[in-house]
Amino acid sequence: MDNFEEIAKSMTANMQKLLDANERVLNLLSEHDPALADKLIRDVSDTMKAVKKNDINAINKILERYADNDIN
Amino acid sequence: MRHYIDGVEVTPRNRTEIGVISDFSGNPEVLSLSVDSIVLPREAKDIIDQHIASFGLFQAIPYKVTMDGGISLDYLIDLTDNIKVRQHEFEVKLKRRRYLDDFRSQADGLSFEYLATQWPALQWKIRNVPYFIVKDNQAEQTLQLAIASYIMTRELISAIRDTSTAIANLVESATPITGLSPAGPVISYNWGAIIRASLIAVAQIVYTGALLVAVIKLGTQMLFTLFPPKRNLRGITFNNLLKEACQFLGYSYASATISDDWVICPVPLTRGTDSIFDQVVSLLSPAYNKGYPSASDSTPTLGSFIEALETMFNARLIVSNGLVRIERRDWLQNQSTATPIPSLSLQGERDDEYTYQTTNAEIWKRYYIHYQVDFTDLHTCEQEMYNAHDAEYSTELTQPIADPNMNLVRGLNDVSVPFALARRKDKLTIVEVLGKGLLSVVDALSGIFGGGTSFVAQINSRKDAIRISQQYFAVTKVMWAKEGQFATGGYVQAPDYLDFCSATKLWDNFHSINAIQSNDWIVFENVRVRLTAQDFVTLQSNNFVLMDGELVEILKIEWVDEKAWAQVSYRKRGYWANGKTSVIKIN
Repeated sequence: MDNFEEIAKSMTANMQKLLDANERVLNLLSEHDPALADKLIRDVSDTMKAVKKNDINAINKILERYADNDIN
Repeated sequence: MRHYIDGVEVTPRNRTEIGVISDFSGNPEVLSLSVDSIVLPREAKDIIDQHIASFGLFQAIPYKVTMDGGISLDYLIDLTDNIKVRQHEFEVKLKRRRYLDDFRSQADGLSFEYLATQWPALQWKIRNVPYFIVKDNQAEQTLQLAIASYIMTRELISAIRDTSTAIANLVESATPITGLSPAGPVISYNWGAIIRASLIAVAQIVYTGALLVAVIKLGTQMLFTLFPPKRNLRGITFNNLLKEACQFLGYSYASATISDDWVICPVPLTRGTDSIFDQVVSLLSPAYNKGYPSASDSTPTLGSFIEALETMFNARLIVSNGLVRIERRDWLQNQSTATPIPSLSLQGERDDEYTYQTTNAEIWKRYYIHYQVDFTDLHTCEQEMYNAHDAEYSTELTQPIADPNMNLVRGLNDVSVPFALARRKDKLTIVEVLGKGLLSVVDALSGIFGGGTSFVAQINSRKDAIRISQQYFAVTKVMWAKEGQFATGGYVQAPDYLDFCSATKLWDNFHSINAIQSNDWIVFENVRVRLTAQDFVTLQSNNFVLMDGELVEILKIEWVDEKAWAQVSYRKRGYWANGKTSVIKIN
């Protein structure tokens, strides 16, 4: 059980770091390409909402766009 | 003695021969006439003829016998019991109204199913009995959990690695590039690398989101399949069940022997329930039993239930003046009504002949009290439940005996209680402990994006209920539980419940009075005494009396008021086993 807790802590901490770093970089990107930065911020926001609703379909749709290189 | 049919005085042809016999030895015909039947001529015959013409044979006719001192005994004419019709007379049999034999025959014919359809108050006394299903496939479930844990751990480690890479790429791409221009130092960025790293990072966030949703769904499904939610069976206290059934029959009920904490939980065999093979049983599914014993239970009728309680509690059924009591068999002996009856004096012709009472009830080598082991509910077969389900005692001679073959303490007193004990779930199982570890990860991860699950709290709450090994079980369960102690409006046993309901406690509290050294009776038969009508009626309520200053138990009285005498058979302590036997506990 200790191992599970370590993995969960590690995952949570890493994810928080990624979200923070991503926020900083997207703020930076918004100076260069505001439209793209907005889309990426919206995708992150939509993902969070979908997780809260356990809506796997909504997340899949976002994920498919990235897989197809179609973020517009 | 005067006789009345439906309020009309009649004169039986054999009136001077009619006496009354009271038998206290357990015979259902406690109070009967000393003649096989009474012969009713003339106007009595007309009344019976009219009654049969109006109602047939299935409605009894009230019959009252009055004696000196305004004492009356209510009987009924049972028209279905071998009635003989002659040209000018009827020969009929009587049954005592609202007394033991009358009550017994009604109770034997009263099923709880029928009671439920006719007596809505029964439903109001039924309460929830929370339960969990803990199956016997703990090893398989542990393996399933191990596989799920491995897959989830692998995915999480992979996600952690990818997340770390994404973070590194973001940091690297966003690092400013310092250069020199004619105006001085300048800072620029590699926008292509930033866009690429941002896209990968957002894709990783979305992928992690998808992983979290999958993990939460896994946790939810795990809870419903591996750890089915707490659901409710239905149960009722012994006393409430008896009270409602007795009231339905026109009696009241009381008991100083049976605690209100005794609860019966009938078997889950009912019509109209969801199939456990077609769908997952949910919280909204109706209870799988009715709360009162049905035809599939050990005691489907009031009569069989009372018999079971008499066995379980070493009790006797006492019915007097419309009051039903189930009390330990020596209860009457300890009542204040066991007072001397002055007129009950021994007559001169009585000799001192007596016999030792050495029937199997009094003389026993083994005394075995046992609840049922229900192999359809494996929790009754192991650990403390098996330990508590039986108790065995042995009578030993205090003086050594050279040849064991000469030992006359023999026989088995088998107390087979037709119920199984219900097992309390007071801790998490091994699978729940493992599952709790796995689900704690889900709880921790589900909060990453806000919200979150509380699976661990749900696992931790999986106790304070009964545990059964599958949805259906075969033997009616009994519990020792207080309403509302662990479940609002429901019955859940306290942790120390076995201190009250184990077979050993049945011995301690109810059966230990059956030790030989406490039952070394001598029996006097057919002793002629003088007895007033009032004494006779008093004896119907309590057959313990003081005779020559000594407490004796009347076993049988034959009384003819026309002759003003009675013959009694009684027993009293002879102390022939005192200090000569002892009881030891075998297990």
